[in-house]
Amino acid sequence: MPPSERNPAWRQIARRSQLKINLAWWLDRFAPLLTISSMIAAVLLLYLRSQDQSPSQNTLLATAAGTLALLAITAWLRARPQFISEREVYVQLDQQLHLHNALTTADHGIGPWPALPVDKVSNRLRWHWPRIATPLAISVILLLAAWYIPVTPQAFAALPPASQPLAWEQMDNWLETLEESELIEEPSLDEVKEKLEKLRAQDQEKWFSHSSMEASDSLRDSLDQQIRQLGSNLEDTERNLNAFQNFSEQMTDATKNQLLQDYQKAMKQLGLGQLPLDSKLMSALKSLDPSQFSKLSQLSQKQLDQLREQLKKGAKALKELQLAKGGNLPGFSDQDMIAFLMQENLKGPGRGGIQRGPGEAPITLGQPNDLNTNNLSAVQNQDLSHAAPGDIIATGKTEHDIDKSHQGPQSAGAVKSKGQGGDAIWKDALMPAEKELLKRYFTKP
Amino acid sequence: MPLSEQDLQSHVEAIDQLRKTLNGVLFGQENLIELTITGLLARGHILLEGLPGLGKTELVTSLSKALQIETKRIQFTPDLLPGDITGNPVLQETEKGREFVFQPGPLFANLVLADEINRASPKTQSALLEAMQERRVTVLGEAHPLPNPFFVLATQNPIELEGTYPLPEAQLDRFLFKLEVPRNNAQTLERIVNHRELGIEPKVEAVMDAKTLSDIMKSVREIYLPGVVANYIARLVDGTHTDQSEVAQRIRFGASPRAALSMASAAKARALMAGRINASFEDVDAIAIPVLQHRIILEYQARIDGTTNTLIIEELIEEIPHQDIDTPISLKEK
Repeated sequence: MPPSERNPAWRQIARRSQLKINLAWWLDRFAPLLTISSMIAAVLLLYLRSQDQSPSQNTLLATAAGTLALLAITAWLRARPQFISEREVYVQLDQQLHLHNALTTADHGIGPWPALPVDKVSNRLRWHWPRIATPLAISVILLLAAWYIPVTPQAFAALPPASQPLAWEQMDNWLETLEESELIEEPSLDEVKEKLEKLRAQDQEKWFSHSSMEASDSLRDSLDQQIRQLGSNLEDTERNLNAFQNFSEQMTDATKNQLLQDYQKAMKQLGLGQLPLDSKLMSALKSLDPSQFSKLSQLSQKQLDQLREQLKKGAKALKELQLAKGGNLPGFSDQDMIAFLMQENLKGPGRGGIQRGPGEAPITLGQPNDLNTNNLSAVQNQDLSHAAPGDIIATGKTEHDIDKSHQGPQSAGAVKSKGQGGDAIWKDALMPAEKELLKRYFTKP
Repeated sequence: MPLSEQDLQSHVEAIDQLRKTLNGVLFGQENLIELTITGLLARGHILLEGLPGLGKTELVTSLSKALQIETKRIQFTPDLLPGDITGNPVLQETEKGREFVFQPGPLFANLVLADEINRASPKTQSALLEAMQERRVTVLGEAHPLPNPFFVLATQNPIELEGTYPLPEAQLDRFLFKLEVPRNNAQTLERIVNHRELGIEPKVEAVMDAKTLSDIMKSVREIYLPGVVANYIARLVDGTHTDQSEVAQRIRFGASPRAALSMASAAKARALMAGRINASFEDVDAIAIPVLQHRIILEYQARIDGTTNTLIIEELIEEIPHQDIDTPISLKEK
């Protein structure tokens, strides 16, 4: 190559190297920015998805493009001070090709451009692919994970848990059945419902607390008692009506009076209590006079049959409720429950089952003198997210750091314990001036 | 007008001839000869250190013959006085009557061989110091310039140190190079035995005269020193000082700015000897040890550990990069 053409050829080589090195600098600055931004973007994306506000694909692409452009510009601004000039590339080429700074000299216009090497000039630096690819891969993985990882929107997560105290479920069922049967006054049912909702309104964490369970059981037992009472009264009423309707002619007056008294008593009780009978039904029943049934002047036999049928149905429904109040878990039969409770490994305190356990309290059946209070063991709180300030995380046996060396009475200024080795020499043999000198020597920075 | 490689051609030929001549006289000391010529072209003084009989004096006498320049030899002894080397005023009868006339001493020569310089008293060493630095001698308040060119090639013996006066650091700093004359190996010794006779001086051809030498030295000054090379020299010298490099932890006192100037000058001389119009990093690396090794003082601990000045300079050259720029982590060396 003639000397006149060497200059452009060397310049081309230098610019190629310059571009590569400067691009590498830009990548050095861009990679951490990209990684950090990806982390932030991934967190943001997960948050939006958890809020059920997933951005559309177009919005996502536009945001990504904008962010990348911003990062690229920031990286360029940060990398610019490190950018290498063409002149500096000549120095590198001089070194690489052992040109004794001939290119630098030529670039300054002092000497001629050296001849180009026969072989192609390859850059002494090559790409460090693992370093380049790692942050990019991390960014892509983070973003893909944030986009594809299954996330339950918070709206669903906020729903109450599927599991709630059994007593509530039972009461729900009873109230539903009572509503469908239309036997009870609506306000009475609302009152019970209100109490139930009040229990539900407390924090989910407290649903299974002791006080909540006690209140739930009490409410359920009360409702259970009233339903039982109502069923019994309805049954009595229906039976009395049946007797008056069909067998009044065969009954003596004393029997009739007795039945009438029973009927009136049942009627009275139906109107009382926390679950009073529906007012329409009540008024229909009140309008009856059982002693006159045989004459049928007030009500036709058919209408009486219908009324009785209604009472019978109500009593049956309530009886069914009573039968179902055992409260076993759905799909968990009595046999299963017995087998569960009979399992050997369930013996012991607090493992008794749904209502109360078969286990024994440690104080009653354990060693009378061993209250399990002597053993210190670490408290494992695996779910630290719910740990409150002041909760014990762990306990252990430690001893106070007490100086056990004997310190008896001693005269003023005297040192009783001289120590050993260098300590003894320090206390016994060295003069204050010597100590000072040694201190200065060893504490000298 | 900048130098061209053609301009240097005749100089390179003359230097090659000188190199060849000296190598024909002093066997197995190619590197020593190369550095001695470099030092001369850089207008520097050289301190040769080595055992007796290795050819230090022979190198100087051969050099003087080859260069056809006036040479004088001074054997330094403890009773040598400054006046003995600089010259003394002598009372003479002149037309104006009796007056003191300066009689130049042995320093008034182009090439002075100061043999066993460390045997002279500090007073005499100091007189030599002024001559080496200022290239003139002052007697009775009158300055007498020394001839041009003026070189001092001093020798000192690393053994028999009893009764010697080690050169002070200030005086050591005035030597461009400190060169250690190595022992000859068996092959070289055999060659010496075969080609030389005891008591008979070898014949040395004159290859250039004082004017040619002066022209060459003038060209050395015109050699281009690129900014990056000057920067490298500066960083090397700076790296000998505390906290400026890893190596400097073992150095008590670093090199002076004169060391940087000496390196630049020596690098230029080396470039000219290679026929180049510019000095390079390689030139600096090649002359770094002879320029710096006598200008640094090691820590006691380093000496106890067996570290030498040469090793320290070698480590410094490895530590300080030619170019003070970082490489991006996205790239790696092939």
